[in-house]
Amino acid sequence: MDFVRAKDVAEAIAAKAERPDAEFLAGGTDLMVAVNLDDHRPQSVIGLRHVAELQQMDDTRIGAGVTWDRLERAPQRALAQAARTVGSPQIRAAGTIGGNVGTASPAGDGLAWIAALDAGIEVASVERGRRIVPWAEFFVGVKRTSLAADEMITAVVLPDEQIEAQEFAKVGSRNTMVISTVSCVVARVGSGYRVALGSVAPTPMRAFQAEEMLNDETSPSPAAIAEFGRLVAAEVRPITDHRSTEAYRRHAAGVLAGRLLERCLSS
Amino acid sequence: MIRFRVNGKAARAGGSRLRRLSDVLREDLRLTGTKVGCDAGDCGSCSVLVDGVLVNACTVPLGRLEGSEVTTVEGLADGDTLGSLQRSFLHHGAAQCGICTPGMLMAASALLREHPRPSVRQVEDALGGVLCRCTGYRMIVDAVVAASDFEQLAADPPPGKAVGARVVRVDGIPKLTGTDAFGDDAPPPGALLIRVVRSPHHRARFDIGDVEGYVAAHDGVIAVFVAADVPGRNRFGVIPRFVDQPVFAELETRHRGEPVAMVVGDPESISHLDLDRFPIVWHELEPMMSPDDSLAPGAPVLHQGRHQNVLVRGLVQRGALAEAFAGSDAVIEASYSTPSIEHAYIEPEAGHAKRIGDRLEITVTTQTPHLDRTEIAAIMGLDPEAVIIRPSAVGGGFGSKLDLSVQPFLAIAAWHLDRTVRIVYTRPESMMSTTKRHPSQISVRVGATSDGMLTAMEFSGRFDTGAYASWGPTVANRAPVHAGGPYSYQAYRATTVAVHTNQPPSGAFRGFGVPQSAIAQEGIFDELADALGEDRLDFRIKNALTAGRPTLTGQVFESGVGFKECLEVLRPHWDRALYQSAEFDRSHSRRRQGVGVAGMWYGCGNTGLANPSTIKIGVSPAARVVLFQGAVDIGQGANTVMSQICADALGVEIGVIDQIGADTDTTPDAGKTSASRQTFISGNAVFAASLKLRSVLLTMAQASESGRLEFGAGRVLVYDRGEVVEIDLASLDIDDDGLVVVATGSFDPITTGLDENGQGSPYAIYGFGAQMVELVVDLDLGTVELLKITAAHDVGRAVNPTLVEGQIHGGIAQGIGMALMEEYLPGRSENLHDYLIPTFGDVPEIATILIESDDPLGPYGAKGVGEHTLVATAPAILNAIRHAIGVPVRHLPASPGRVLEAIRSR
Repeated sequence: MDFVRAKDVAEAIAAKAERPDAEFLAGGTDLMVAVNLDDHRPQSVIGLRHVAELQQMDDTRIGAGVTWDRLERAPQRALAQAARTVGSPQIRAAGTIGGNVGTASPAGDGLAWIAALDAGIEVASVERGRRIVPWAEFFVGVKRTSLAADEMITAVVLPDEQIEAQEFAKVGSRNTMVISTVSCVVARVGSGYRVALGSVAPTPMRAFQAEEMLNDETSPSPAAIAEFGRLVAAEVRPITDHRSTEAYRRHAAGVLAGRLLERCLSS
Repeated sequence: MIRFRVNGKAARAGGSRLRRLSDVLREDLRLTGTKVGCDAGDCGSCSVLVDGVLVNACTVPLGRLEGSEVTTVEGLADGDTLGSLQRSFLHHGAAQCGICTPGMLMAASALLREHPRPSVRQVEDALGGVLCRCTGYRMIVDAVVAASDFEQLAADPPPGKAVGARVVRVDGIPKLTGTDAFGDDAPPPGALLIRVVRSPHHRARFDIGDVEGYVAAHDGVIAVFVAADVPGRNRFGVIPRFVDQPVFAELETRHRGEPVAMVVGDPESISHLDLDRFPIVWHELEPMMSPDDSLAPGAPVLHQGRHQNVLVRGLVQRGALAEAFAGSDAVIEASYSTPSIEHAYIEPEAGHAKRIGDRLEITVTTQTPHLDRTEIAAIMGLDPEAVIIRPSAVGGGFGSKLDLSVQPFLAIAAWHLDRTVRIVYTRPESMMSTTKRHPSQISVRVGATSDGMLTAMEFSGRFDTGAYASWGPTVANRAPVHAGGPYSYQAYRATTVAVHTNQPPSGAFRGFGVPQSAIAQEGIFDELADALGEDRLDFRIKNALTAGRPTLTGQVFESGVGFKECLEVLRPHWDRALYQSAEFDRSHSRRRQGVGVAGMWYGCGNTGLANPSTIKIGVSPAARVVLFQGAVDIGQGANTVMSQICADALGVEIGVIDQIGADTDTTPDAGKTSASRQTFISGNAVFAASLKLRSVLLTMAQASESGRLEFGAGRVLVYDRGEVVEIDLASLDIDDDGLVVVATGSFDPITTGLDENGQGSPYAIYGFGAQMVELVVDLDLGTVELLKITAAHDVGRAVNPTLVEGQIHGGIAQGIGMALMEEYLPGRSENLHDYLIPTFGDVPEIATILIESDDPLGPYGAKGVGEHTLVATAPAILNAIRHAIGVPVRHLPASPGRVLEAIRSR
């Protein structure tokens, strides 16, 4: 195995261009587990921890290398809430938002927030330079993304709009180190409400019909909130697996969406 | 070479930059205080600090370490001088088996740097990434909260006052410094590594290909062994009549993970060998995944002679059942089910072995060294005396380390190759191949008269015993003896059947089938009490078994039945909790507070079988008491309990006692650490041996029975009637063990086998308990938040209240997992993120109440308590859920989905 320690994005993408099979290594919380258990035997690895640019975050972008323990204190309330539920303190000290995006697990705790904000994923390659891929085009299936073989994830890029309220919640079967059976973000922006969900479809998803219904209301009544939850439940596309059932996930998605909407309304 | 620092000292390591830090620490630097439980970031037992930040060492690649400062548990203590955090752990009973302790200590030390006086919540958050299967976490929280202000440990009690005292764990210091050697912590240098080739299918036939070619083609592979290489009997088991499990499958594998071959070689070359490329062709067969499949007409029979895949049946009956039901005013029946449950101790199976001439020496994590010796001797075709089993420190067992796991592989490889060999299971390997709690399907019918008195119970339990017998017969026999609970009936009938399937073998797991039975019995009691308009606690008190009344097997105890006291002591808590739940419900519309109670009993020791323990105690020329302690301490505290009993029986301070063993070459057979038997049975053997030793010493000094012994400064003094006599140890002959005076004591409780109706006296004593659970259910999400558990247990006498409370907390935590989240699915949940066990956030405040009924047969009145503590938890939780939502959840686990389904069925 060969190991390249990149000092900047240019070096990282140059290495990746030469070794399309190479794995990027940041926090190691996914890649190391696969290596430890022999599920994956990478031929080459590009280490990203010394790429300073990836560690940077501001109001418009979050570098791919920003770890969850930093995001616990992020100004974006729902992102901070989500960060606090990621794994354990050890995982949060190592794992990054870029890793969450790259792994693209349906249960990735940061992904519903990215979808709710209509964020983009900034990727870089020698061939095409930098481009921003809308989240909905980036996540294409269970643990599948549209990232090309020569590309790397450099940042989550946030749209330039005021977020007036945002709330995150998830449900799982225990209270610490829990993988979500459903996660949900509701956000209120100038243009209206958004609701995004995780663990209820192959990719993070938005419940657009529920959003549309709500955005027709000037001041949502209890009946409208209930209807909003019903539409969310109808719109999600969950499966039954060892963590939960399709029926439970559908129901819980609606409940969480309704609750988070109420919290947004009262904030 | 990567250069970094560990605990202030320069270190370096080479090899792949993706090597994990945990491996570098343990293998290159021999810092084995950092433990490995999963290699997947799920358990946190490898937690260390890198540049002051808490990380899982298993996910830190070597390549990242250049110039870093790593702090491990070895950096926390100054030799054996503990820091205040470690002393606080010892004092609070925060370390049981000790396998998670280094990780806990590292997480705690990171927290305490920032917050020297943390809140409970801060501790739970900061340590939340480290799993513990023994303690139930609360004592760890207490230890960390108190750490900064913790001064000195209390002095040992004076002679004669050890029993009943909160003596700190006598083997605690190595657990807190990281020096306790668990199964994989001290392999001999140069040992070859063993890796096992396993079936990926639930059921399959197979053909092994060109093994010689495989060995030749792989550098570092020294040998491959298969079934034909087993020198003796390619079968093992735990019950002589039911020895049916092959070391390596011969024609057909009967469960996923079953071994077919092993590869032995140089560790560096084979630790990452891709075993999927082993030359074997699989022919998958249709598996039978539940008793419904394997009992179906025409189903293939997994074991010759076991018609319809039935391993055994059990029966206990007394009284006229039909008449008793006919005379009932209310009769209720229902069905329950519980899933396969994994022990999930944090230490995976591991050990090492070498051949010494015609003998084999195996160091291994085990609960039962002497049974291991018998089985390994048979597998190897050797005399038992040719096999030495040395238990390592055991990082949790809970029943599964009663069965052989790595031992046969170590024995066969060491024998054939005449080399030292080692093995450690990966977490998936441990989960897929070792025993589980029997899945159960239970139907129960129970009746009572309108004045709330029980009349009859009929119980029928079907236990999925998996691919091999293991402890299936024990479960099938113990369950019907206990299934009615500690209550009096006019008539009772319980039948059980253990059925083979292609699930992993079901074996012993804290309670041997009794926890499953109690869920059904205690669950239906609540439904019956409600139907009769009885308070649920009163109903139990009214019907509670008392001294002088026959048990379900017709046994009558004249004393030592403290069940009613356990229930009655809950009364004020019950009344308060019911009031609070009603108040809560008045002010909340979408959440409901529930209160549940459950009773339990559990017979200490094997069911109606001989059950002996022998303990040897000696005196060294240096005037130390040497306790040959064969009762393996798997974290429950046998080493400490035996010392306390020994000290008081001799009338000496605990500090003069040294321990040896357990080791089959040195310590007499104290029997298995199972069935909650060690405190009761081996405790009695220690008591007997100590009295004998004392008597010998008094005689040597020509002192009377009231003489007092004093050990110290290389001499034994005997005080009697105002005189002091020194025993001249130097004048005595020294035996092979280096001792000058020796005594042994044995104990075997008097029991009887069960007759054709299951009647008899299967246990000499029972322990009793009752637990009360308060919780809140979210009616929209089906989630359950536990608020508090109050546990009252009749322990006879608490030899060490801290250890007893530790057992209660730990049993409760496992009961919580069983009730709310645990379900093992082969191929789906073979790791600790898909198989969830409770974390810090899942175990609420626990209040313990010890009832001391002073059992006439127990040493100083003590009973066993290890398994008792788990039995009542799950039924009490389920009863509280039913109280909250008005409908029962009868199928476990009561996951949010199941609870919600019940709510919506109202």
